[in-house]
Amino acid sequence: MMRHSLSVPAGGAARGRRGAVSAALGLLAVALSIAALSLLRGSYGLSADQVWLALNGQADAMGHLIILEMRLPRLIAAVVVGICLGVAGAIFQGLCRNPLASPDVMGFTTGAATGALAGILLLGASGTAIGALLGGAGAGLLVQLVSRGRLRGDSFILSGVGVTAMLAAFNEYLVTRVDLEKAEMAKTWLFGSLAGASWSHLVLAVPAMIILLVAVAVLWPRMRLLAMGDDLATALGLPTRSSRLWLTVFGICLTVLATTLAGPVHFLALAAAPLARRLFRTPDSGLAGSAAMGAVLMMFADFLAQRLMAPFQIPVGLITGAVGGVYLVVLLSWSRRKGKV
Amino acid sequence: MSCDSAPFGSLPSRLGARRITVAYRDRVVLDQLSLDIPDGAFTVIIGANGCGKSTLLRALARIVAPAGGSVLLDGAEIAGYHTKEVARRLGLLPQDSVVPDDITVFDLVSRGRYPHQEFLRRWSAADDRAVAEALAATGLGELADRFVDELSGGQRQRAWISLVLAQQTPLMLLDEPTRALDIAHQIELLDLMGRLNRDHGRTLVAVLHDLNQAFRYADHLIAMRNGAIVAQGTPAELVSAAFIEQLFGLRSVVIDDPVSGRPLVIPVGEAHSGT
Repeated sequence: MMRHSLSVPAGGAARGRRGAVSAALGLLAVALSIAALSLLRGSYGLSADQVWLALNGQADAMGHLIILEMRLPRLIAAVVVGICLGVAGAIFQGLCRNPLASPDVMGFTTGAATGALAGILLLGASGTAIGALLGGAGAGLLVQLVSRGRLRGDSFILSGVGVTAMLAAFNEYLVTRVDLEKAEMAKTWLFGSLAGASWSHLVLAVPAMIILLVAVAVLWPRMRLLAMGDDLATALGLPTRSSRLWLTVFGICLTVLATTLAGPVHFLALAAAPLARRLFRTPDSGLAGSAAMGAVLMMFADFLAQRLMAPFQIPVGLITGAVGGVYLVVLLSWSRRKGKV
Repeated sequence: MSCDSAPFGSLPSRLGARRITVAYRDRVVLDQLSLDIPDGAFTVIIGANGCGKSTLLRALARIVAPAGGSVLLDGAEIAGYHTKEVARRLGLLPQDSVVPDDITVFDLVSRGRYPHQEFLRRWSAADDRAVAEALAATGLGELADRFVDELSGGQRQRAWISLVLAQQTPLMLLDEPTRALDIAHQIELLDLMGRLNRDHGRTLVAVLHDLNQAFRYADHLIAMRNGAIVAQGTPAELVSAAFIEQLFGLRSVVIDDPVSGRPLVIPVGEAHSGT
């Protein structure tokens, strides 16, 4: 047991830790490559030199505009949305102990979208954030009500699925009720896109994300206990009800933040945490790994959204949706191999 | 036998229940049940399926809150304690724990140290020692770095026991600790529990399904039927063919166990009832 004398409880197989370090480095390399590609490639051709100059504040007006006012904020927005959704997915999958749980399956993304949509239609673009927050909170209350306060297991997921269906229908209804021009705008927004990302959004979103991440990190040891079942967690001295409630609240806030920035982005939250776990193979990769994986997936999805049919842009929500379908098939085959299905 | 009076009027007891009633929705599972768990003893709860054994254990470990009555820990209502304080005195091995994905034995067992950790003091030398001792006691020291989902059923169950051991509580409640184990591992586990009780002075309460194992290892037997305690005492005092018939509706012959001298129940069953 000497080997463990200096380790923290997270300590597991040394072999696993080394694997996790190389996995982390690999993921970082992928992230940097996608980031570099996202800055370099675009409908307006810029050389690597020009991008570098722009990042150092020495480019001409055009390079400055394209890199610093368009591509860079969009890239950072993708990272923020990815981190938020990756962590939110890890939270809900942990709370439900089910890899099919995620904020978009369980109504919170759709709820935030409903609120944001109402905000946009009533107040214009400035109504997005407040609407999304109210919508997310409303969806949370609705799910809490339908699941009778049991924020756990399959009843939590199924309540969310029901709420998602109701809210999605309501979103469609909202779109039909407004005039054509607004309806067009609303439809576009509902696909999910980062095209509108700007520094004015990020100066608010980044600090909000950091505060939420710190709160979740503080609560994460509780998630490690909840993962073993509520009876054992309670026996070990964890207040399970309040832990679940707070983790749910922060998960919804992260979803609202992501939805405010990008509109409803589907499947990313579902895929990030399980992919991270398979890559790192430690239970404690949950938080950091899901955040990193979410960021990489979102950057990649948005790169595809911009480049796949260039010069036309595809809404990033459609990309994540399409890739998500593939992911579900893969998930199923993993479960089969493990003998769980 | 009266259920309201403490069974060991003079013996000390740190954990007990006073007229607790537990109901799930409309179904009353425990009805005004009272008992005292004798300190330093190996207590075993027996009874037919659905008689409320697990619920009693869950109520004693404050997993379910009784609708009426109170659970007492060291003379005070358990609901009044900080839940982490309870977890430093009382450990529970529940029936339905989940193995998290990709977790090593060491990591799983180390989670038993949660009640001893504070927000800023997450892991200490005492934690390391407790986990090492718990793993040694269950013979899992060599497997500390293995993933739990690579273990056999018996090893996995021993990992759960180690988690509760690492909690280092004077009182330990175990809900069917021997389930899913083959006979050799069952005996090994019960021997381990016997050692913990005798050599380390831990007060144990276990729900066991195998009657003969219960009679063999229990200092104190609690027999339940329909949410009430029908009898308690030593196996020798309680066990007879009539007692088994009353408890389980099963005809049996009770003889002396040739190894331990404790009662041994041999069910009669249909095929041999003519003889």
